Amino acid sequence: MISAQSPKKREAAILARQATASPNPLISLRAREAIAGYFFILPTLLSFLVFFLVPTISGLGMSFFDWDFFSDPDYVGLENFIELSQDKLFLRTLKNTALFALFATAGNVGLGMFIAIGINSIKWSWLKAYLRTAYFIPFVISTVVVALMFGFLLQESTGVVNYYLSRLGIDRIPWLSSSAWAFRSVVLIDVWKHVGFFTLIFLAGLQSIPRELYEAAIVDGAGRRVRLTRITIPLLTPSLFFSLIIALIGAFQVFESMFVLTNGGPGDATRTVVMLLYREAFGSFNMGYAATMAVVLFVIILALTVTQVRLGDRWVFYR
Amino acid sequence: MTSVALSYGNPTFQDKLRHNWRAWLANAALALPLILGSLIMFLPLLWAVSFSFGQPHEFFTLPPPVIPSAIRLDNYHGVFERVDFFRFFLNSVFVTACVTIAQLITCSMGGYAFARLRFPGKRIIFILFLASMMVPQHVTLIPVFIIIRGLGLYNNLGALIVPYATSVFGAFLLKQFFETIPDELEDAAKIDGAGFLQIYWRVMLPLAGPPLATLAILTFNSSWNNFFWPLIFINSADKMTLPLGMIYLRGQDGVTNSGVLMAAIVLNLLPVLIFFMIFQRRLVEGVTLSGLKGI
Repeated sequence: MISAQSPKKREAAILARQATASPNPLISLRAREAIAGYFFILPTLLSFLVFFLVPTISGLGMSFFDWDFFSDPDYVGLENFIELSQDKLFLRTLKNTALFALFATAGNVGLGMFIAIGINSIKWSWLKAYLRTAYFIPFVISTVVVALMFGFLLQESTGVVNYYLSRLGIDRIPWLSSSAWAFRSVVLIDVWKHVGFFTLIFLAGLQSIPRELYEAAIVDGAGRRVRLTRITIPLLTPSLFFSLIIALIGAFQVFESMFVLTNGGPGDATRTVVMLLYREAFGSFNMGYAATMAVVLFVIILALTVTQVRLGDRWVFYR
Repeated sequence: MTSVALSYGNPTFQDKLRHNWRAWLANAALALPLILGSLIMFLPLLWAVSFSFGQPHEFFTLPPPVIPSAIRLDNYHGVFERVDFFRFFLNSVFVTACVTIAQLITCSMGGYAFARLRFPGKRIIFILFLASMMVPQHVTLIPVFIIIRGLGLYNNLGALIVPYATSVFGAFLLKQFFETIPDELEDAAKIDGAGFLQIYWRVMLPLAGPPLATLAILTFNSSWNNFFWPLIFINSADKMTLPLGMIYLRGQDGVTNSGVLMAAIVLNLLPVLIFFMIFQRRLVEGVTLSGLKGI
């Protein structure tokens, strides 16, 4: 009944109704709607102010101070930034983080895309469902549990993984005890945990490609490979673009798996920026210095994201 | 002529069979590496289960038994002897339940306002909200630490709940949904004299089941697995949630890399996997949705 009326008539009916039912005729309808609007966003707005806006501004400000948490902060200008740029350990963690982000993103996004294309082209739906579930399961397990589990399985002399590798004729691998391998292990574990998430994103992208495109291509005599490179991959670029952005943002903030599995070692081989930040803030109480690290990390992430968005226009194919 | 028509129009039984065989083989060839890959996903979990039932001396025998010689619960007893595992579990349940319920309320309220109400400053506030999703939480870490202490929530489960009682992402998710509800429904309620609160409660919320379920499951998962926040705000064992409790357990005598730790891991996996089995479809939907529309 209502939908049969014209919007104008409805508007008039609403106004008439509200004019008669108004609890307080002194407050206009517009004002009442605005009050309701503020009321409904109040919890989110309050939380945004208290736990985001104020902390972000003071976090940025804190990077100009020297502060040990207990005595009064000292204004030091850009000294923290200068000190940070010469801090060998910080530069080392920055390099570790960047390399981790590079390899983990490549592994997660690349592998995720290929697994998704593979799953999508299988014809048996039961197998599709099984594979999708199997690859996604690690994603719901907490990183702490994953790290503890792999710490056990990857032990050098008594670990199961090395035992079975040795049965295959491969020498024992110092998974967590050599610097190079510890780094690789952390990347591999990250891919194990997250690849299913990216597989899902790509599967969603694949499902949104219209079937007619493939049918038309088959009519034109396009083979499997041509269909993959000329239809599937170009139309997956929006998913790829999105995956690269969130994978990189996440990887630059990596902390938990290293904290649990290697505690940054051996040496500083797997120490990341956030691990150093955590130690500076809550171990040494160099609050200003830690805040400076956070700012630098934020600027790097922001710069990378903006660059990706800019470059995205050139290679992402939007329908 | 007839033979051509036959072989093109109606493939013989043999043709069909041959074609099916080739399709089957192509499928199998494609599936094989994917199936092997999926075993890599499962194997670590199966090993953890197997070792959790094993005997301490079995860890040092080679080959490590894949199936333990006997099902023994010693390791599970070991977990409960060393830490109050049940307390960790209850804390996790409490925190996760509070965070999830709070977000369902606050995010649906925010989403409703952004989608259906006109008020000054709406656009600016919304853009600020979106921008906040891109800032890493470590920038806010130290000031939030001070605020939490100021609120008297240090070493209190409230520290794990209050900052997570709402989320910009959730409000955004619900806004996207509420925008798809036709105006007629809302107008009908207005003609009947409903106020905004009634429209939100009687018209909007009953329709928002699917996106609310998605939000609930995503929130549940991230709250249940949250580790960084408890690490900073909780320092006594009776306030720990499961992830932090696991690290606490590892620090106890003789636990590092032992069957006891594996037993605790299995106790951790069990509820998560049950949760996953029940809500798999929604979870997959939620991840896909957040993946496509999240930012």
